[in-house]
Amino acid sequence: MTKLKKFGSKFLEALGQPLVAVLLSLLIGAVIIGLSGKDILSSYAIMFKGAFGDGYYLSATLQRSTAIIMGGLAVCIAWRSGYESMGGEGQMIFGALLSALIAYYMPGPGIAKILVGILGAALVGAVYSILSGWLWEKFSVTFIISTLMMNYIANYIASYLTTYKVKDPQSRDINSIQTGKLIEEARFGKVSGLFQSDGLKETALGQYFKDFSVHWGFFFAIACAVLVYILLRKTKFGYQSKMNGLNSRFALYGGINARGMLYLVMILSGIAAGLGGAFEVFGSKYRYIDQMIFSTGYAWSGMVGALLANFDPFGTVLACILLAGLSTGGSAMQRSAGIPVETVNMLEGIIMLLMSVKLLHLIVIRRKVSREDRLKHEAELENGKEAEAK
Amino acid sequence: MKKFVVLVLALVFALSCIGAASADDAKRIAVICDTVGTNLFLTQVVDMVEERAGELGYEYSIMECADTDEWKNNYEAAAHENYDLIVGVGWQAAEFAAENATADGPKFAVIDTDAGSENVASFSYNEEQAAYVMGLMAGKAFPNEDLYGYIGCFDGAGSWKYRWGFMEGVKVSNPDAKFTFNWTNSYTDPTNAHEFALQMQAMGATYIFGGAAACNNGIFQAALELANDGKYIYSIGQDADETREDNPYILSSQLKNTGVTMGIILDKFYDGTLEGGLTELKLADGAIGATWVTNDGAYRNSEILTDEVLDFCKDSVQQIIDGELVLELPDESTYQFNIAQ
Repeated sequence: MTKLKKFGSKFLEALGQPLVAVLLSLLIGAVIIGLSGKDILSSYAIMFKGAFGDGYYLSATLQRSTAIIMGGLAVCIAWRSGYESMGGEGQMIFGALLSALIAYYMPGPGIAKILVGILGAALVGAVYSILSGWLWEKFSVTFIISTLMMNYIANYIASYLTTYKVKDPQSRDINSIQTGKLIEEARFGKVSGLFQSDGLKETALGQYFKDFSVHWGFFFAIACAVLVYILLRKTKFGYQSKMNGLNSRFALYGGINARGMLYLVMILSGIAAGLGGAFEVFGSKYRYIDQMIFSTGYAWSGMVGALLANFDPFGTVLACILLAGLSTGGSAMQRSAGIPVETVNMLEGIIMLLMSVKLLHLIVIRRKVSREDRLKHEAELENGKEAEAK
Repeated sequence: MKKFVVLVLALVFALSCIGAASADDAKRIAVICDTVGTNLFLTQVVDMVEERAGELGYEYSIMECADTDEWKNNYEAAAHENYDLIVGVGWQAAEFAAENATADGPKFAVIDTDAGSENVASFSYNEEQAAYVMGLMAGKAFPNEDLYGYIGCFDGAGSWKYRWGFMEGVKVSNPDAKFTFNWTNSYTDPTNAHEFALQMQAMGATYIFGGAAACNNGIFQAALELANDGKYIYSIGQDADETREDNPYILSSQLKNTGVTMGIILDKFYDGTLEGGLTELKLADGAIGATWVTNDGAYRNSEILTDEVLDFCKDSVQQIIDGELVLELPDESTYQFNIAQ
């Protein structure tokens, strides 16, 4: 019973934080929506429905969350070990571009295209990540600067290549800046695809899942989260990396190979980000479109998700799905409630900001602390008086 | 804590009780595009949709996409949410329109791109014709300049028909003209364009082709500021007429009338004649043009745009419409540029 209670309170603590933030920001948002002269409740109803309302909208949210989760996992691995890399975006861009190119130009069956594409994405993500690790180790370039700049470099290289070198040869519009489209066999399937067979189509299950168009990449991302969990919690590497993150000097003193740790962490986090790019290509866009990772800010949302969840892989998954829902719900609100996109983006920003402020933590702890403080203080006073009396 | 949970649950329950407004018989039209803001290329479409909603009695939604994923998401949602006509504006629309359009589902149309699908009505523009007219105007009005500036949004094949048309037009009056190019890498950032305009003036350019959508406002602002110092630059707007009395340095606008195109789509949709396939709109269709040559504008700077200049341009427009003057866009890699060093 106590165990159950403990689990319950832990669960509430984990989930309560985002919920309080969402609630508070919905209140602020209500003022904004009210000021813009729209119906507050129906706007919110549309937002909720557009994010998680039915199979179709839930699928759109889960689909958007895939790359965000991978970006979040990359941050989990790196930041937990004390390396504050923000390079997930650049690694994801190269992962997406390379996997799209491999799968488009490499001859062979679809499954081979996908496998080699995923391998290439993981490799290029790792290599690009190693580069910033190397800059840190050799030249003491802080991660924040090197990885931020490398994001821009990656995006512009990808823009250059898609504009001039690997532009879709079959494109009918010269303005379109994108690579060639993958053939049907070289794409991830969708969940709804499972229920397309004649036997299942008419059953209740088939009807329910008919709109469930989320692709397999989402489930690969969940699998990756499980792997990261095992890696971080159940292996020697996980322990060592955590030590390194908590106190790198202590870790060094304790005999951890700092250099090996740095590169291993960078490689793993680069792989996660690179895979995120590949999943987005194979599952959703079926090609690399200029700015597709940069404008969507997947890696940044992932970072927010990971920070919210305190670098816990499963918490990161949940937080990232919530963040993705915020985007899909937001665009539904813009679409159906006629609220300008700027207002919607503002609202999303407020929710994100409030989610990152650990409000609940603050409230609970302050109450606890102030009570403890008071008791302690009173006790001290008592003691003092007693001592004086003596 | 309990209170919070109860409150949250109550809110969720309240939200789920409120259904969306039920649809009646009115047609539902969706327009999917980049964020609109002050981008004339898009505001023309939005204005047309708003203007005709009263007369035709349709419901409409303008779906603005802030990123690539929202393009995909909004297209799928529009198809899912039972719209009757789904119009996309810009190159990103082509792909998702083609993917979501079916023979018997809602009608799909795209503006300023080619979806390459028999289920999507595609409308694109022959921009080199209008850019050529702008070049003619610039060359005729400023025949003795060494250098002509050009500020555009994105380098690459997409801008080639603008660049080529403009350069060829200038060269009619000034065969030795040199050109300089800058790119804002945005449709909506005027600060870059402002800086480029100042630099081009310092390089010796008096005429700057404003080909950078809403960024052009930076050029116009630079022209006003330079005029205070007794230095003059002249420019043009894009997409809709941007001439105005308080800024006489905006001579004309290269018109790309996306609003007219939206009107054509609405007419065809209600006539039942909206068919898939590509329609390329030319000078002759009135969907592209040049302010003071093919259309009137808000303000004419008659000192620069003399009757002689305008008549010269009008003659060529007539020749193009009559087919006497054919503009064949060459391949960019074989073209001899005359770039200022």
